[in-house]
Formats: sequence, C-alpha cells, structure tokens
Amino acid sequence: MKRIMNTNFVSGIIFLIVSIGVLVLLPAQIDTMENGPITAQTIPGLLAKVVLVCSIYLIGQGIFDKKNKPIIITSHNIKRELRSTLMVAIYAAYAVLIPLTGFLIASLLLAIGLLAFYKIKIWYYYAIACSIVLLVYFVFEKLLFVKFPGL
Amino acid sequence: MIENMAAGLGDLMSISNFISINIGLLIGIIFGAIPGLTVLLCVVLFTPLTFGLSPITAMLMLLGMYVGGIYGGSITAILIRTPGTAAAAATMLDGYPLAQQGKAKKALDMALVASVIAGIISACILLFAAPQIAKATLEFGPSEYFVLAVFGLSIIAGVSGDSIVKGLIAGAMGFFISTIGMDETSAVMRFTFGNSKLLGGIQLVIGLIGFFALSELYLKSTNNKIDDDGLDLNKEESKLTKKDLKSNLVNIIRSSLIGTGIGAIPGAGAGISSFLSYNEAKKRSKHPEKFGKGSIEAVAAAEAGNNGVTGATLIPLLTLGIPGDATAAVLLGALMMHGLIPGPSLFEEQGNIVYAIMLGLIITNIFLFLQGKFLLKYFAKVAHVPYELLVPIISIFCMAGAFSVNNTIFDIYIIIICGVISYILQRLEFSQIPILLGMVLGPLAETNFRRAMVISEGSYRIFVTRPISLFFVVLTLGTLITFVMKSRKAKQPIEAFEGGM
Repeated sequence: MKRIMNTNFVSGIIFLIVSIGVLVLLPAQIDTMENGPITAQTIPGLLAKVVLVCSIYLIGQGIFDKKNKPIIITSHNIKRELRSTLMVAIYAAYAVLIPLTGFLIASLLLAIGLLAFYKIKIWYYYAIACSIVLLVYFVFEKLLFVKFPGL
Repeated sequence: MIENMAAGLGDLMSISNFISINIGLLIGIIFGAIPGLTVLLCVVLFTPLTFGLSPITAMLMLLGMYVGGIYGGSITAILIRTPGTAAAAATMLDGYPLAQQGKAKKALDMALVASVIAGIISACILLFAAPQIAKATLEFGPSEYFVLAVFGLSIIAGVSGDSIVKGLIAGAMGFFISTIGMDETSAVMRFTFGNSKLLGGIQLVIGLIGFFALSELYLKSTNNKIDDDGLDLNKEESKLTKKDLKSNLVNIIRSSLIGTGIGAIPGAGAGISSFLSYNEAKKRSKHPEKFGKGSIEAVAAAEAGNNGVTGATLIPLLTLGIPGDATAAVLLGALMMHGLIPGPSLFEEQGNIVYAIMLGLIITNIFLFLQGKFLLKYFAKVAHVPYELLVPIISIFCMAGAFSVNNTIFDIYIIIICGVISYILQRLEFSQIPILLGMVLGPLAETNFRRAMVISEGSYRIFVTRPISLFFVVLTLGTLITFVMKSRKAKQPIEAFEGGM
C-alpha cells in the first residue's frame, strides 16, 4: 500500500472522481435546447472524458510503474501543509472581513497578519507594509476609480 | 509611401512626442509588472486623458503603454514567479529559475534586449508590409483559428514537465475553466450553479493571479529565508555577456518573426506567440534539457515572441479597422476619438499621421531599451527585499487587482480557491502552464470549432481542405510526432543504463 501511495496514483484518483462528477452534473449544469451534434455540452463533456481516460492511465501508472516515488508523510511535511492551510485561512478570513470592515481596514489587518504569520518582530516591516496598503488603496480608489467596499 | 514616411518622420520628431512615449512606457511597465493590473486597464484608463493631445502624441503615449505593459509582465515573472501578464508566463518558466541561481539581472537584461529587438522587427514589418500582411490575414476563418488554437495547445506536450498525461489533465482543466459562464454561441449557462456572479465566467487575469501568484505564496509559506549569496547582482555570471547575445541572436529574430506572424492574426495574442516561440527554441536548442531549469535561450525566445506582437497587432487595426484583441479595440476607439478612421483610406488621406505612429513605434522600442536599462537596477533590487515583506505587498496588489476586474469580492474568493487548486496540483507534480494555455486557447478553440462546424454543416473536412488550416494541422502533427520521438530517444539511454545494471 505504501508503494502505490505516489503522486500518480493519488492524482489519478482525484481526477477520476472530478471527471465522473463533471459528467454526472453535466446535463443539469448545461441545460441546452440545441439538438445538433455540436452543442454547449460537447466541449465540456469531451474534456471530462479526456480527464477520465488520463486519470485511469495515471492510476495504472501509479500501481504498475516501478519508478514511482512513494509519498512519505513526515512531521516536517505535516507542518508544511498546516502552515499552507493557515495561510489560506488568513486569506479566507480577509475575504470574509472586507464587507464588514471595508477594504482598507481588512487589508491593513491582512498585511499585519501575514507579517505575524512569519513571526516578524521588526517594527518598520509593519510600517512599510501598512504604507504600501495605504498607497495601493489611494492609487486604486482615487487614481484608477476602483470603488472598494467601505465600512 | 516615401513621401508620407518623410512627412511622418518630420511630424514625429518633437520633444512632446518623445516625452509622451516615455511617460506611456513607464506607466505601461508598472501596469504590466503588477499582477491584477493589465495593459488593457492601463490603456482604458488613460485613453480619455489623451483627448487634449494631438493624434500623434496621444497614440504614441498609448502605444508606449502597450509596449511597456507587454515587457513589464516579465519583470515580476522573473523576480517573484508571478507573471504580470499571461504572455509573461513563458518567460517565468526559465526566468525565475535563473533568478534563483543568482542571475536575476542577466534574465532581466535578456528579457529587455529580446523585447526591444522583437519590437523593432515587428515595427519595421508593420511599416513596410502592413497592407500585404493584412490581405493574408483576411484568409483566416474559423477553421484556421481552431487549428491554430489546437497547435498552441499541442505545446502542452513540451511544457508538461515529465508527464504529458498530467499536462493533458491540467490543460483540459484550464480549458474547462474557460467554459464556465454563459456560452457565447447558445447563451446557455455552463457550470454556474445558479450563481449570477459566474455568468461572465472566470476571467483570465483572475486565473493568472490565483493559479500563479497566490499558489506561489502558499508554497513559500514555510520559506522565510533568502540565500543572499545567490543574489549578488555584481557577480560575473549574473551579467549578460556579448557571447550570450550573439548566441541568441538567431533565436531572438526567429521568435520575433513568430510573434509578428501571430500578432498579425486578429485574436491570436501574445500568450500564444510567447509559448510557440519558447517551444520552437526548445526544439532547436543544443541543450533542450535546460529549458524549464534556467535557460537564457528560453527567456530570449519567450520575450521576443511576446513583444513581437506589439507592432503586428496594429496591422489589421490600421489597415482593416479590425482590432486583434481587447487592447487593440481600445486603441481603435482612441484612433477614432482623434479623427483617424482605420481602413485602406487612412494611409491615403492621413498618411503622414499613420507613418508618424508607425515610425514612432520603432522609437518607442529604442526608448524602452533606455528606460529599461536605467530602471533594471532598481527592479533587480526587488530580489533583495526580504521575502516576509514581499508577501503582504504582493498579496495586497493581488487582492486589489482581483477586485478591480469586476468590482466584486467574489473574485477574491475565486483567486483564493484557484490558488489552493494550483497548490495541490504542484504538490502532485503537475505543471501550471498547461492550465494557463487551456484558459487562453480554450475559448478560441471552442468558438471557432463550433463556427467551422456550422459553416461546413457538420463536416470535419473543412479543417483539411482549406490550405492554411491544413498547414497548421500538419504543423501540429509534426510537433507532436517530433516530441514523442525525442522523448523516446531521451529515455533510451536511461533504459539501456538500467538494463546494463
């Protein structure tokens, strides 16, 4: 089991599930009245089938190809993935915060949060990052006329 | 023609024109470099501001933005693996590894030189051959566009890394993402899940920010130290030498011609030309194994390919009034705003202005070189900025840029999700480039395939009975066969070695 847990096998399984999901959802998600051979469903359906075939190939390659390197799960890898997950969570929290606090405050909090994520204790890094946030806000809002969400 | 050219040259040579070119270049470079800000946005925003200027001055400023913007995308692509424009993604493939090897300045220098040479070649072809080339591009119909798109997609084989199957999956995924939203042909909603915000689909720039910029930030979440020893910009090997330039001259000229050819075709775009040039350079290189790992040839090819488009885009625009892309459409509007109606009569009635603009494009590329050389040392210093400080700065630009596309927070969620998908794919050893190729070429392929099918009443023969279409079919098959043969040849020594063991 350890040997077949390699990137080919894992990606094959993932895309097998994705492609089957797309093919199942296709009729409902692309509700077309066209009746010719080529419709709005043709290309997405074809792409899903290509992915299906390729994922079956990858699963086979994952099982039978001896050159596959197994995925080794170590505490270092887990720590790395947890950090990446935390970073995604920071960005997601930022997106949720924007309508509540406005773009400017949310962005300042994002900049501070990311520096704290990297455990930065140098004060002028925070000052520079916040200044850049203010500059970006000014340039986009006042010069480029992009209307950011306010408070 | 000679009289108009001489009159145009006289009109061109003024301080105000030179100043406007340089202002345009600087603004364009900045917009091109920042992910989320596009050349299109730049030209759209500044077109109204040119109203008070003379037609020549106004068009030169906007063309300066266009040229600068195409080049600017390479700066962030090389330094922080975040292409500012889709066209710079090919530059990133080798530019970033070069920067990691301490050769950031070399990569930036080569990108600049290749861009300038390509821009000048493209501008010269525009100047002398615009009407003739325009006639040829009129022969392009849906079948030709479809086969051209498929030819572009075949490059996936060359940029998939070690696994073509994974490249195919990624390319199919990018293509699929491009189908989300309202179908152009039938107005049917596709995979919007009832969300009105997905009606317009997922814009290319949103995909670019999510799949490249944000995923890079997630990947580097554990890297917080830069090895400064690798970033000494005064190291000999970080300088571009005459030998580098001489050995890449043929490569640059070939890529420029590819870029010019592709740029002259309305709707084809710098994204396709940069990858086509990259692929061609790889096929002809003595060291194709270095491509993707820091090859200066690759940077030269990609940049020449994408800047070769700049002059050629004006060919259908000026001669036929057909804008090749959205930016060209804005330029068309700008031309009309200044009383210049593109078409065959433009060259006769206002020939001096048209030739001033075309000659001005050559001067623009010379100024690009001067500005680029001056600013390069400042751009290259970005490599010295501590990564922990760069992350919030890049993040804010990405978020602001993503929001500015459609003025909706939904796009920020999309880039976060695209970033996660790209992160997972990279962990599973997929290349992101096929995703981009799929997103760029997918709409071109599907729309024209369906149109071709309507024209031919369902017959696939249309793709092989039209000469230009047949040419691209043969080219595509040749590319794929060559790639398969080369892959097999590359594997044989390894298998022989393993067999011997």
